[in-house]
Amino acid sequence: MTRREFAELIERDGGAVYAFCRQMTGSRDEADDLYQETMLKAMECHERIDDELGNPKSFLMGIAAKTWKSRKRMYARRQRIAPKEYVDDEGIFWELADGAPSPEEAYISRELCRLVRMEIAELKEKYRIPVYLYYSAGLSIEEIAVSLHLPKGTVKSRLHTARTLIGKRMEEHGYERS
Amino acid sequence: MRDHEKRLDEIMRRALASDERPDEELNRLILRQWKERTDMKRNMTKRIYATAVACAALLVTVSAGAAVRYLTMDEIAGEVDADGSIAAAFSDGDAIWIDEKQETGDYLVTLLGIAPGEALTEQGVDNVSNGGMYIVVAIENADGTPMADASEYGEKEMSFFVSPLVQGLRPWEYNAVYFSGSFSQFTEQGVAYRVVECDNILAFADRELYVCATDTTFYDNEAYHYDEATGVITRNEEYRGMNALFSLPVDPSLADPQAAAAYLERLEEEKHAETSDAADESVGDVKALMEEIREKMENGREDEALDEMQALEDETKTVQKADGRYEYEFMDGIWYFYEDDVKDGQSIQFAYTDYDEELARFTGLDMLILTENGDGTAEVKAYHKNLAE
Repeated sequence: MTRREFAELIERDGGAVYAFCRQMTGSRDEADDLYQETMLKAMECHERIDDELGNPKSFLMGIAAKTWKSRKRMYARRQRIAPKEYVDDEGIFWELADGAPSPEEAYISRELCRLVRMEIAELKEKYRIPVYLYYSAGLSIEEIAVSLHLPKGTVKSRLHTARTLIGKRMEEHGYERS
Repeated sequence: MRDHEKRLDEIMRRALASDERPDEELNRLILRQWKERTDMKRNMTKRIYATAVACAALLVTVSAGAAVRYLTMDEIAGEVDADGSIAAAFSDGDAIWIDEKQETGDYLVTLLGIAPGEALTEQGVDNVSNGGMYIVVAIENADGTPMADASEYGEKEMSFFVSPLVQGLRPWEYNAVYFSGSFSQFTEQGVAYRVVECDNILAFADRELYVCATDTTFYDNEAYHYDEATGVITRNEEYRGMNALFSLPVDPSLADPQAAAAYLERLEEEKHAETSDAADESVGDVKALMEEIREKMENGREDEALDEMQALEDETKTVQKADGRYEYEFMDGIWYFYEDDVKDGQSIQFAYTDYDEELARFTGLDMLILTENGDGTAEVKAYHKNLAE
């Protein structure tokens, strides 16, 4: 892989990798570190991207997930010092309601997103990682399976379990199923 | 997906959506690091050369009608040789000046010369291989236009594979990649120079030795023919692209069959070691086990397949087919068996479990066997194997 191809890879898939790093770490600074470390590791084995992998995005995500796992204690330590910051909800809640939302609807939607993110952050790692890969980074189930070296069935099952768990917790927060 | 699941799915999608992108400066920093890394391997300094050549022998003289003067070995070494070992190798009496041109694809390829790297051994630099050797090739555009500079974004145009090959050794298995190869490359006055350093293969001098050059990143099977009976390698005349192949004029008396055999043995050991490492690192060994179990199950050797697995009796359940699939709750998740995957009334699923961070591998394997009852229901049995034992 040439530098130009690597630049194109960053341009094409960097956003998805960054979205995953952002969710995993919860802060922009930490995300920058994880993202940079991921890309530098990818650089070290860039021949493999050319040679044996039809899906560089899955490869990058696999590196990101593995890097995060190996560094999570460090990130957790930093986390205690600087609590998580979330992406601004502007632009999200307006889309959640049908038509122009009332201020109350907007508030509910915004609060719903905040709670969902909070609960997802509390999920066990084995559910949380596929959830972020699926919903934040936009990977397909097949791509997640490749990234995490898991059978597709396991990925489907984990996503399903994650949704079930989040659904239950949202009910505990007073949100109804339908 | 049920309605409430769909709604939750949508909420999660929106809650986790992010337009945030890495800062442009961060991406530039990463790309700068790429450049610094490659610059360490390839000296791409451009210099304007004086017409007069100070001392070194000119590798190749200008061919009739051509306006190109190739760099001298000293000049080439000046570009890529940090420790003087290349210059030393080529100033040695064993260097072979070849100067053979082949026009192939869109390129004119000139094999300038080869040199055994005995100087390395003498200096004690090379403690792994057999002294090493260097191959120097010049590549030009056949239409006379200058080659792209190997600068900033020019590497794509500089993607070549130059390698020694040996008669009787399958070229896709035995090439520069496996001969501990590395290369340096630069462009000067429109000519691309590639200096390949690899293990010394002159111990095989009683066979035909070749140098191949393609405009690909790695060895391309399509570019050459390999005769399994004679071991002879030839160009594929139908190949669209650059596929030069030079025979090296080496003295057969340089052959050392004993050293050659020992070298091949070492290569095999290294290949085996790499395979083992890869298996340890990934789930390759678990995959092999899964395939073995599946093969036994499909060939009526169920007892043998299940012999070493622990049956999880409490997990046996009868499940109902709905929407073309069976749902089975196992451990803390739902497993789907799709009817398309059911063959002869049976479907098997595996899962790696119990990831051990210290060992960096999975230490458990779960197997679920679904057997259809023929009335829209099926029985699912679960098994577990401890791989840490």
